[in-house]
Amino acid sequence: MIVLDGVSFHHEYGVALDNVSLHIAAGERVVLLGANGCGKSTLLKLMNGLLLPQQGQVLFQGTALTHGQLRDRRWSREFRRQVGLLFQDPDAMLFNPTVAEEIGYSLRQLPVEERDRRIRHWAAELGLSDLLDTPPFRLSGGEKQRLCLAAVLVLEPALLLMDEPTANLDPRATGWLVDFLLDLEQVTTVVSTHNLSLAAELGDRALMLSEDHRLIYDGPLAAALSDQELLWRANLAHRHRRRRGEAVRIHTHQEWS
Amino acid sequence: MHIPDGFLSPQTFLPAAALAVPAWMYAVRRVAAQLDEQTIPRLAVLTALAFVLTTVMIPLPGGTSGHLLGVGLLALAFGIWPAFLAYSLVLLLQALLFGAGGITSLPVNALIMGLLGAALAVGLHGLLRRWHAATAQVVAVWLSVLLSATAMALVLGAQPLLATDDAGRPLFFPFTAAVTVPAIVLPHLLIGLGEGLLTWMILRMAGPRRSGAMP
Amino acid sequence: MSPRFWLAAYLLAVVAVSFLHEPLWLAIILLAVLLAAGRLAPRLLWRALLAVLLVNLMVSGGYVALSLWQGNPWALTVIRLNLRVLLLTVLTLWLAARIDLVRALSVGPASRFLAVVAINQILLMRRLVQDYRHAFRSRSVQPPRLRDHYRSAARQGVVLMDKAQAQAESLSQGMRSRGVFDDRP
Repeated sequence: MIVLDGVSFHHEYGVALDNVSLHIAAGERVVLLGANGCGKSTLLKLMNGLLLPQQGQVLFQGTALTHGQLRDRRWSREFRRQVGLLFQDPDAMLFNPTVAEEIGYSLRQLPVEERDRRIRHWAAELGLSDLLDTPPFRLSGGEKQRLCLAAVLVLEPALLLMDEPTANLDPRATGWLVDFLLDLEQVTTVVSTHNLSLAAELGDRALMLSEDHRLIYDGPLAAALSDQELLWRANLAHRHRRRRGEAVRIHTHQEWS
Repeated sequence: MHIPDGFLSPQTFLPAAALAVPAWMYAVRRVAAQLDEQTIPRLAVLTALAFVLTTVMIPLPGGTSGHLLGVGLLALAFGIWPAFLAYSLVLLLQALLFGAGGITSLPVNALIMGLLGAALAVGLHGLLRRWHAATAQVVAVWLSVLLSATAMALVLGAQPLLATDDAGRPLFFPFTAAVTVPAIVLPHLLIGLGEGLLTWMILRMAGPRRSGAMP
Repeated sequence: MSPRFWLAAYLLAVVAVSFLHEPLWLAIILLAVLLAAGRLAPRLLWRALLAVLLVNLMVSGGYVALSLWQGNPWALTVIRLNLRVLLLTVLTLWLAARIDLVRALSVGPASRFLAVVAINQILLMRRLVQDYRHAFRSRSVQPPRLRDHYRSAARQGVVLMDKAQAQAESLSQGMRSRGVFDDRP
């Protein structure tokens, strides 16, 4: 479905991704692991055609994402419909005056009745039915997150990219989101997180980025999560020497943030 | 919109500098009196805000766009003097850090776009608000952009009158006001309206501020 | 030489260039500046050309057209104007490439702090609105209507205003907690 071939990306602050190659097939549930600032968001934006790599290429269903390709309206419309990106900061996605308009924003091409039907359907799915006339910026963090999900899912995308979707959620909302994502069928998902306790619930394949912005692991998620050395190298687990004042053997903890 | 380096004669920018320096000193005193110990952090953040606001695009019909000036917005939200100071600092950063705009034209740009623009926005808003609050914001910012643009066009248009060589040929910007006023003011009829609309939308939605506090 | 020396020299130079009207001299100085810039010269010249291209083409083209129509000579004016603008822009870019402007502009701890914080905040806020623009593009299946553009631009403005408010609060509190304000006389 989506292929990265030798992709490097650097922005004005320096390198964000260094020679990353990977291949994601339809139906996969991928978890993208890495410490803060290692390039997870950049990788997702590259897959969404928002950033274009300086080296290498990103292919969606065999077609390379380039300036020219994305300017092709018909192709671009289909690409935007099929690939949805949930931003880490839900506020970044919301700009319409009401929840209903927010959900319906991408559905302008549909007849009014069909559009309303879909808006009501996804609002109900995500528990937003009572909020349809509310301005999005008045919602709570969890409600905004659900609204963003509705706004993306209303297009019924084939590939759903999610950038730290639980970062702003409380534990109850996090549990709800995990269940919701597991129930989503026929959607390929790539979810980025630095929260290892959650990772196991979100997929079966892991991609791990190191702090020098390379892909250091691509394989079964369970194996990645039990490899303490690998996690330590990716700065996803910490080590310490002392415990409540006593010196003990150096041991590794996973981050349960 | 601001005048780049090389278009203004010293007959223009030297007096403008002589006028701008006391204006900046007065602005610093006013702002410092209001903010006391918080002057520096708040002014720094306000400058950054003014800088990044200019990267927001004003959508125009036909798929084109212009850059937001932001002076009217800052002036209505935080007052004339903070807006003038922040905009002047933005011009300085743009000129020296990014080579955009100009250093010789900075005093003229700061006085016209920063001080005049801010004062017009606040003054007109004060006159119009009793009539209709929302419309007052749109119209005040629109007219402020339009009148600043006119002042800009007049300063540019004065150049061929102020500085010519022995044969009477212009030494700096070559067009007179007969050309600059329509060329600059007409597009700003639309750009200014866009700026007014965006300013009103932003002020309506932005979070609560302690009144007059900055930013 | 200190950054402040170069800043002063630069300010003198730009004013001096404004009093020079002989194209030959302007060209010679431009050449001398480029030679002095050494390895930086091609990049400086290219960036300066890009920076002035649009406006200068419009002004020069308009002036040439008007002069032809009125039967007036135009060459000297156009050459002088473009040389001067290019020279001033190259000088500015050279200064920016050569010296640490934050240090040059720091006439005291306050202005240094102002410059450092302002630049940090610019980077922070730029990254913030960049996300809003990306999200808008990502969500726009159809080309956005004018009204969508306005709504998105207004959201960008709002988030910048709110972010500035929050940052100013926390910066002031951070400074107070570190005792910065207590040192004042």
